[in-house]
This record gives sequence, structure tokens and C-alpha cells, in this order.
Amino acid sequence: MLIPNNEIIPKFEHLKDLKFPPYYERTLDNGIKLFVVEDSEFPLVTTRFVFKTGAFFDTMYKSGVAYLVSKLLNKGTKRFSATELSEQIDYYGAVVSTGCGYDATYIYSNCLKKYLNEIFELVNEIVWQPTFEQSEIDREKYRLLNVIISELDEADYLAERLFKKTVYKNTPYFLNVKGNQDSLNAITRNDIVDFYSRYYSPENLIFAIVGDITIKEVEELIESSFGKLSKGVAVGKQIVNLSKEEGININLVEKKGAVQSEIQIGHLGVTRDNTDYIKIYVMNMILGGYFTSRINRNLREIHGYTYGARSAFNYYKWAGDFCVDTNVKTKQTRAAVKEILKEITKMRVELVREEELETVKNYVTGNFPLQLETANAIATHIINLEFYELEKDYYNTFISKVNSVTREDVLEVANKYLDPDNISVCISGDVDKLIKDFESLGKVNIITNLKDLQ
Amino acid sequence: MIESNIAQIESFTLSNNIKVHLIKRDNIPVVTYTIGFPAGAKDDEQGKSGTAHLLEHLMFENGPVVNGDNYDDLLHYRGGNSNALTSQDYTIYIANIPSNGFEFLLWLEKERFSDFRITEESFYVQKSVVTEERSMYYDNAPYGTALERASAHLFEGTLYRTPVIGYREEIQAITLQDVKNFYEKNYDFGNSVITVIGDIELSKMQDLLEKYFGGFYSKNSKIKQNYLSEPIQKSVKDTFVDNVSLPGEFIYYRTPGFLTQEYFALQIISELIAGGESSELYKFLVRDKKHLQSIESYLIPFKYAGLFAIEFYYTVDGKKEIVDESLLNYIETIQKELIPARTIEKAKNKILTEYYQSLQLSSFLAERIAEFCLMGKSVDLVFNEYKGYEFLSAAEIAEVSRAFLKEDNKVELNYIPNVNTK
Repeated sequence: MLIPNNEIIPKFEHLKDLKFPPYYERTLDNGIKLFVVEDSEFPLVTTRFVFKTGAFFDTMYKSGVAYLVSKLLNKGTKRFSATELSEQIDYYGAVVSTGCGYDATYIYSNCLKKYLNEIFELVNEIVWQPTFEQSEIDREKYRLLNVIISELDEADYLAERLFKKTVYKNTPYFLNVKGNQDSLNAITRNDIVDFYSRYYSPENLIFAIVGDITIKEVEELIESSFGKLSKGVAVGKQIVNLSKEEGININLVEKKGAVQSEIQIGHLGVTRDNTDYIKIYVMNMILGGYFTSRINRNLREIHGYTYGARSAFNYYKWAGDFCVDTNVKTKQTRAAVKEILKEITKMRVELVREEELETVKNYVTGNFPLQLETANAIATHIINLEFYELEKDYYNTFISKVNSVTREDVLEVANKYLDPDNISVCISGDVDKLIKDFESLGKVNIITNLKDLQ
Repeated sequence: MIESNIAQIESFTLSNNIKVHLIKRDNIPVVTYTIGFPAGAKDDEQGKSGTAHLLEHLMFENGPVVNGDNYDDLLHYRGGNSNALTSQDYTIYIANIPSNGFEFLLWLEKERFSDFRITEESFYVQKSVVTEERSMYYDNAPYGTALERASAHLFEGTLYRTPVIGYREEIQAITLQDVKNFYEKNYDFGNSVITVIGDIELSKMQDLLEKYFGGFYSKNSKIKQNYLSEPIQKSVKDTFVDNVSLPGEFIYYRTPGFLTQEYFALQIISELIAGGESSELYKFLVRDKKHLQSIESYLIPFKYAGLFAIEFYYTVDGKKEIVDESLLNYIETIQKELIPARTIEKAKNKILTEYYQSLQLSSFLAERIAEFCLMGKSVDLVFNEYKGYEFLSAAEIAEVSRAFLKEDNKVELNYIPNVNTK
């Protein structure tokens, strides 16, 4: 079968750079970065507070403080109890959620335009006037202790924790954001209050408001809320002491009653500000970044080992990793790992085919507009620009940057940033069956106490 | 009612009876397209559950092939992406593509639906892929089998009794001939629905679609009516020892289907039971007494019936007697019309916010339009669905809860930890 001639099917044209949609930005006197994206298609308004802090700033024996702080924000303010807050928020049909990862803490709200004033006032209380009552702290700790017990039942969670423990070793990125049994018991109200007053400052805040609202209305809201707060202290540059893997290390953990193995394979990566970022992105797309990538094609479409397999360079603010993840039949685990390592190695020794590179470029650039489909998605991109300190023009030239990557570039970054000889292979599954298959591949380490992964 | 500025739906029918629905939305230079058939897991033959879903996977292997590149390779080369979903009642295929590649997508679609050319080789690979999909989402996931176990009871004697993914051993039993038979019998273009949303020229669409889809012929087949057995009229209660650390309790009731009068009341009831931290049950069982980590409640509406679910996830100190008693009491409160008007208004506000939120993505909106059509509802309702909630009273909500949230229409499944074995 042939593609019909060009008279029937329009000729393929490369996409041109897409102009990033317009938005409003301003830095307030107290350091808050303000962004507004207007969109009146639906009568909704979203607000997003992003503080540049998170579990990265937890200490080893008190992991979970940052997360507890974020979860306690809406559990009581100067004027309202936790129940009074949820009663009002729910009444307006709004969503208010809070949480944190390693590097960022968010407070998100979404409501009908007609209730914006009421919700904005509540959210501001939540952000700026939380009370951290002891009874609420105890309640939240108890909830988290239960959550972390349940999470250990999940195969992907086990593999992920094992991977982080192995790759990030004793750095903050290994710690569980939610803390562990011992750390949660050790955390005091003082730890929580201290963390809050140290990091929740205007200087550390990015604020975006999105939806059916005008800039004038936003400026009025800000004038009457956090516009006049005093600066506080900004989080400076952080250094993480990472150490590379040596050799191929196999780490296994038992998943009770496993019918398949959850696999995460990888090693340390780079940070988001790496100058090779776009080349790495394109290289990873070919390797395992999308459905027709080499790894998914090999494991899913050729061998039928799995429902899906993918690779990614993951970026935290101060470190990063490279990770391939998939889940496969227990008896095919060894074969799948072998194929993954083979694909990684192949990226380093052979130039990719011209056609493969061309497909990835077209896929990435063709799908790029979809990332800007909604006002909220646009806001996410603007927040990332600010958070990772990228150049202002980054998205406007994204398509041409991707299109300029060559086969040689791909080979070069594959050699520079992929290392299949010094790599961690982390698997949750049926350990008794797996252990024999893996002894020949490298040093096998078995986690027997699940608490070590918390 | 809807206060949105979204463009309206334009609809027409092709010469072979394919229904088409369009919305112009040109904020980005992309087109979202779906084609759907009113064929799904309900059409699986006895003992061959999972056939409709396996066929969905295989339609991506059904050509065209150009220089060794298959459907997805060719689509990705043009900057597009694809997906598909199978439910009990229907199957929908989705693609997004830069607007300059839309006609190419139509050609791809025409080619892949023109014939059935699946090879034994790709059949066995996809069967294995689907088995791993089942492992991942159901067999290897904590509490993953609750829903299919409940459906077997609630929908005994109906076409909704088996899971869309299929039972493990039944997936194994499917043959290539079974899939081919399913395709020939149930994929009738005369019953199909196409939606296109995005950067399109409305005036050219009818000719363009006629050019690529006009050649498919309608088989004039009837959409299978789901024979519904009598209500279950018994209370099923079962306990399973599972690989979980803490108990989970799963309660299901059989209900009427999609967009029925009862559907709206049941959506409100699910909000009353588990919508937000201000719900009575959450405040008592999660916050104050700490018996539970969380409560979930939702409605799964099929075309001819539905399933109303309540899920309890326990804490280490959680007491089942107290949880069960609290639920019974709260359902009784609903049934006696004792829920305050403000609480019902709260549930309606929440549903409205989520509803607007859900229409923002074109791919979701396209799926929604297709779903309405394939479930036999007017597409006008996509933007008017909220009217179904507006005038719903406490008395009507009480009546629905009395009729369906009752003991002899209920399946309760308890998953408890396996303490001894590894």
C-alpha cells in the first residue's frame, strides 16, 4: 500500500515556531512574581500559589515537615476552624487543595467566577494565617502514618522508593516527602511553625491567576490582600552531594502476591538548566519518550512483555535522574531488563536513523500546541519558566530548537548522559523467582524490611 | 443555562448514515477527531470477555503499513497522537493532529477501517499486552478486583456482568477468528459517530468527510438491546483475604443508567456521601473518629443500568461496625428527607464547577459528545446536562435513595489483610 499522491493528501509541512499566548506579568514590591492569563470561555477562575520550598528542606530525622505544613494550611486559620473552612469551600462548589513535592509547595483553588471574592479571601487566610493547632497536627500525622502503610502495598510505589533510595542515597531527594513512621513521631509543632515562617515568604512566591477575570480585577484583589506583605528571605542556590553508581546493581523488594514485576532502571541525570536540555529531550524521545519509541516498541509491540514502557529524564530543582520504567510478567523480567540495557547501549554506539529523528521532531513539535490548549496549561508553562529560571523566549523558539537537533547531537548526548554499565536495576515483585535470574547480571541486594523504603 | 462562550455544535449525517458533530475552536492549530461505535464489552460472546477491548488494541495494528511504518508511526510522523477507549456500551478512537495534517488523518482512518487484516503474530503480541494491562490495573493492584466481583453479582444474567478488560482465562481463550467475527458483526458504520473539534473550516467538512468515509456501507444492524434481569433482590456479602496492609470495604448498588432522572439524583447522593471534607460521614468517620483514611463514592452509568459505589479505606484502628452503622444512618437521613437544603445546594455547586472544568479540553469534549450519541442521547444535552440538577428536590433525592440504596439491591465486599504469608 502506498500513501496516495500529493494531490489527494496535502504535502507535509514542518511547523513554524508558535507564538506563546499573551499573558500579564509583574513583580510586586515585596518580591511576589504575579502572572495573569485571561480566558473567558467558561465562568471559572483558578488561583495558584507556588512557594519555592518543599521536602528538600526537611532534615533526615524530621522528614515530612514540609508536607505536614502544606497539608495543615487549610486545617485552621485565625478566623476559621478546619471544618468551617471546608464547609465554606464546599458550599461554593470550589476546589482548594494544598501539597508539596521536593522543591515546590502549591496552594490551588478553582471556583465559579461568581464566588471568586469569597474563595480568594479564604485562600488568603489559608496561605497567610494558618494556626497549626496541636490537635490538627496530631490528626494529620495519624492520617499520614496510615497512608504510608497503604502505599507499601503498591508495586509501583515500592519500585519507585527503591530507585530513589539507590540513586539519591543520603540526599534530600531520597527522603519520602510524606515522612516515615519515626520521623512523623519526632516532629513537633515548633518544627512546623519554624518551617512555615522561614519559607512561606513573598520573596519565595510565584502567584498565577487564570480564567474569567481582567487584569484590573486582579490588581484590585492583590491590593486588598498580599500586595503589602513584607518581603522575607529568598531561598538561595542549593548544593546536593550526589555520588554515581558503580557497576550494575540489582535491587529487589518483595511485592506480596505479585503477578508481574515493576521495574525501574536508571542512574543520576542532570538539572533542568543543563545547556544540552533540548538535545537530551530529543534523544530520550527516541529511546523511550513516547509510544513508538525504541523501548516501548521493543518491549510492548515486538515482545508483548508489557502494557507499556517508557524512559525519562526527571528534573528536580537541584538534581535529576534518568529512569526507564515498566511492568512485565515475572518470568520475562530478566529478558525485559536485558532488552532495556541493550536499547540504552545502542543509543551510545549507533547514529539514530534519519527517519527516526524526523518522526520525533514532528511528533514533539506537532504535539507542542496541545500543551497550550487551556489557560491553566499555559499558566503551568509560565510558572515553570519562572521556577526553573529559563530564558524568556524559551517557548517561542521551542519548535525551531527541536528542529535543529542533529543525529550527531543525539549520539553525543547519549554518550554523555547514558551509562548502562553503571546503573541501578530496581524491581518489586516475586523475589524468590527473580533472584536466580539476576545473580548473573550483577550484585544483587534484597530489601527485606519495608520500613527501609519509607 | 450554560454561561460559556464556547461555539455551538454543528451536526449532519453522511450519505451512509454516519453521524457527524463539529465544533470550531481555533485557539491552537490542532484538530481533535473521534470515531465511535456502539459496540463494547456488552457485545462480548459468553466465555470470551475482553474481545471488544482486544479488538480496540488490534485496530492500531490493522494498517495501513507504508515502508514498514504502521498506523501510529505514520500518525506520529505527521505530528499527531492517538488513543482509544472501550466501555461496556461503546468503543471510541481518538486522535489529535496539527490542522495541516487533518486530511492525512482521514486517509489513515479510511485505510485502517477498510478491511480486517490482523496477523496471527500481532494478535498474540496484543493478547499478551492486554494480559499485562490486566495485571497492572487489577490483579497486581490493591483491592483491584472489587468492581468486577461486584458486577458479576449485580448484573448477573445481563450483558454487563463481565469486565471490559476480560477475565484472565477468558482473554487467553479468545481466538483471532473471535475478534474478526466481533469486528464484522458489531462495527457498523451506519451506527457510527464522528466528532471533530478544533481549527477547521466548517463549510468544507461535509465534502471532506464524505470523500473519506462515504464509501463505508451501513449494515443496518440493530444495536444490541441489553436484556436486564430482574433486580437482584438479595444482599450479597463476601470477604476476601488479599495482599493489602489495611482493610477496604466496597459497597455497590444496581441503579438506572446514563442521564436518567435517577442518574442526577445519584450524582448528588455521591456528593452528599463523599464530596469534600465537609460531608457528614467524612467529618465523623475520617476526621473525628479516625476509623477511615478516606471515603469514595461515585456512579458508573451504562446505557441500560448503572452501578453506585461507596468505598471505605480503613485505618489501623478502624472499626467496621461503627463505619457500617454510620453509613446506614446517613442513608436513612437521606431517605427521610432530612438533608438540609444548603447541603444539597452545595452538592449542585460542586457538580457545576467540575462540569465546566471538564469541558475545557477538546479531546475530552469530543469524547463526551461521542459518548452522548453512542448512549442514545441528544448531543444538545452535552451543554445542557446541568439542567437535570437544577430543580432536583430533597424529596426526589430521597425517593431515589429509597428505591435503590437498599439492602436487597446491595453487594458488600470486604478485603482484609493476609497476616501470615509473605
